[in-house]
Amino acid sequence: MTAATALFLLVNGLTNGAIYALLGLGIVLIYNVTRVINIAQGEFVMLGALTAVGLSTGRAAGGLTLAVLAGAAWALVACLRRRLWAWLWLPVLGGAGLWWLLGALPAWHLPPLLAALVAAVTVAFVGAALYRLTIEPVAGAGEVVFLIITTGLYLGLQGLGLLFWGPGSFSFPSVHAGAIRAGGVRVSYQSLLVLLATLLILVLLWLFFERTLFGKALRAAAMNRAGARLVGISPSRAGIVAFAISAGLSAVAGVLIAPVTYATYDMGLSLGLKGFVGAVVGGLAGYPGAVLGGLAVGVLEAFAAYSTSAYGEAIVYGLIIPILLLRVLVLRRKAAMP
Amino acid sequence: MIMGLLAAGSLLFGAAYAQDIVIGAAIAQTGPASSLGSGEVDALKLFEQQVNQAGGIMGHNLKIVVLDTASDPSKAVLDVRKLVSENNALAVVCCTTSPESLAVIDTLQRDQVPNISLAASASIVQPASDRHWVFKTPPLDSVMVTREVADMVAQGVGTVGFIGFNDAYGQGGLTELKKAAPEQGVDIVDTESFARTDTNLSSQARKLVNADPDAVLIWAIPPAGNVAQKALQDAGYQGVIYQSYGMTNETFLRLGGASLNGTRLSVLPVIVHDKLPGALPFASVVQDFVGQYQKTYGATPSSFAGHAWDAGLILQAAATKVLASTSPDDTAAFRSALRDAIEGLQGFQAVDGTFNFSPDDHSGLGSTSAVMVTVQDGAYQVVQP
Repeated sequence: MTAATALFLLVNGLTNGAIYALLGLGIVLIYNVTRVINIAQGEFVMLGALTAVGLSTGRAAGGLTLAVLAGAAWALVACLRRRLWAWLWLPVLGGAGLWWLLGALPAWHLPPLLAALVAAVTVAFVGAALYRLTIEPVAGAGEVVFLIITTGLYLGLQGLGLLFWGPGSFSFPSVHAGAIRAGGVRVSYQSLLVLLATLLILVLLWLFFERTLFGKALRAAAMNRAGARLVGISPSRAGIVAFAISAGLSAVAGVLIAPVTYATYDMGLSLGLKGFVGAVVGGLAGYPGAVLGGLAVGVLEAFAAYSTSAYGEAIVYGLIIPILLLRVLVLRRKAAMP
Repeated sequence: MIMGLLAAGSLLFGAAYAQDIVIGAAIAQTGPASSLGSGEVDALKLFEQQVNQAGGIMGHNLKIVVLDTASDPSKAVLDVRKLVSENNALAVVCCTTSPESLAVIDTLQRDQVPNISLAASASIVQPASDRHWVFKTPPLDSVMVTREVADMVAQGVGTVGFIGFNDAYGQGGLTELKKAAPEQGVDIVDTESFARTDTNLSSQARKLVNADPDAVLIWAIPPAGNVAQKALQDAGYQGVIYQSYGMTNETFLRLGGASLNGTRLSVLPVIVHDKLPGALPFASVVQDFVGQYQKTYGATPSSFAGHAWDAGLILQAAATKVLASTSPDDTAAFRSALRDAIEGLQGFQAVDGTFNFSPDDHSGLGSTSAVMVTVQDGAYQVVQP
């Protein structure tokens, strides 16, 4: 292996690792705030990528339809909760009306950047709505229940992906075709965009959690749910925001990776699992850990595939067990110390 | 007049009691091979409609039951079992991909049901002694690989690299390359593989680029073959890229776009149906199929649709012969007679070529089924020999 090859693999690994890092961030954020391990994280990536593809090429904008349905369901549940029987007609008719409107509008051909933004916002909304509809009603249940619920969400969302977009693969235009040469290695503009976007998102998230009141409230809700409620932070609202941010991050990751790997309805599972591996490597607790874990998984995958061709993925997934064992042993030793 | 009424009544009665010829089809309508399966289902449905409009097979209605395997070999086995036991299929068309087709061999041989596979790998029909009930319509990968290696030699290629699926299809291509390349004086310098669901192939591409072969042979299906080609180009590969006949559907051209210019591959005659020399004995069958497919679906058929159409043609010809002596009511006897009839087909003109089946050869196609083409501006150009 020459230095040029190692550099190539490193750049490639970091690009994919950045995507896993975004996913890992989303998983850790949701876990910290709501104690939910989100198996459906990869599906938000798929929804983001395919919605952006649909909006820019005039195909079924399935994400928008899903958002309308989820929003109508959310409003319906809210009316029922508050026993506003007189208002029930609003979500039902409004949802039906918006659905009809989506179908009646001529096919949209948005520029890719706008399509990506709309897709990210739409999927963020869908994520929040799904939290409100599926997790929040059983907010006090154990982590295993949440795991099962999100597994059901993954299956349902993948099925909806197949329904809206069919089994085919779709490409999304790169931000700019072409590449730069750095240190003898060809780095495509798309890779640069992925790395820069991830960095930007990290900075924004850090500012949000450190400098804004709501961000601090989210961290408080993550640290101690009961204590947060006592000081007036609504755990429900915190959960909604956490899911919205996490789903939006995943959608952005989907739009970034779609030009490289082609978007298809079943792209979510392996991405979500690798993001989960990254989060586990980072300890499932801290955000820097999730990011470093994701990057490490990407780089490991690149080098493993170079050495062993088809076993790259197997090595990455096989990493979970030794990492978990290591963590248990380390934690036990720490707990044993005075 | 009474006799007329009686005759009409008995005809209706008879027609109502003429047993359906039930053919089962387990096709990958979803999953990684869905872009292949969709064309196959379209062709099968069109074939069924055509046959029934023309009066069925000797007056019997043709019924093709299609089940989705989701490109999963385990599901393919379940689907085939269902078709054989619940639907009482007289023959089965399975499956879209080589791994699925290999997975169902055991259960079909045990249940003694003739199967026509739409997949590529030679091991589906070899060794012939172990494949009594299995046939296939696509040409053997050995035929297609040999044609590509011959083209490589003509292009002055001395070294070749290989990247393909790590399953029956990809490794079948590699096995044939390992046989054909040394025979024609081409050295294999590096081989890489990847799983069907892998989306990141840059590492394997980099390794191939480091080995610096004159040409690279990619043995996969869309979209994976597109990803591999893109990865090679992104890793800076400058040589000639060869693809396989598993790539010939519209997904390949749509996803690849202008980056495919100069790619070379050996394809089935149906892909270049408008440039076929009329002297080929099966040219009229190809034109007829393409014409009907275009009229119904408004698009040119993929080679996979052609494989499925041939399965239909073969089963129709065999069933026509068998119905003279056996009734479809006797499932076991009909299946056995159908198998014998298929094996006896000689000089049978179909979309993929001229089939000559025999007890030793359940593939039946020769080198006339391989046409060398290059991709230019989203279309295939025939390479003049």
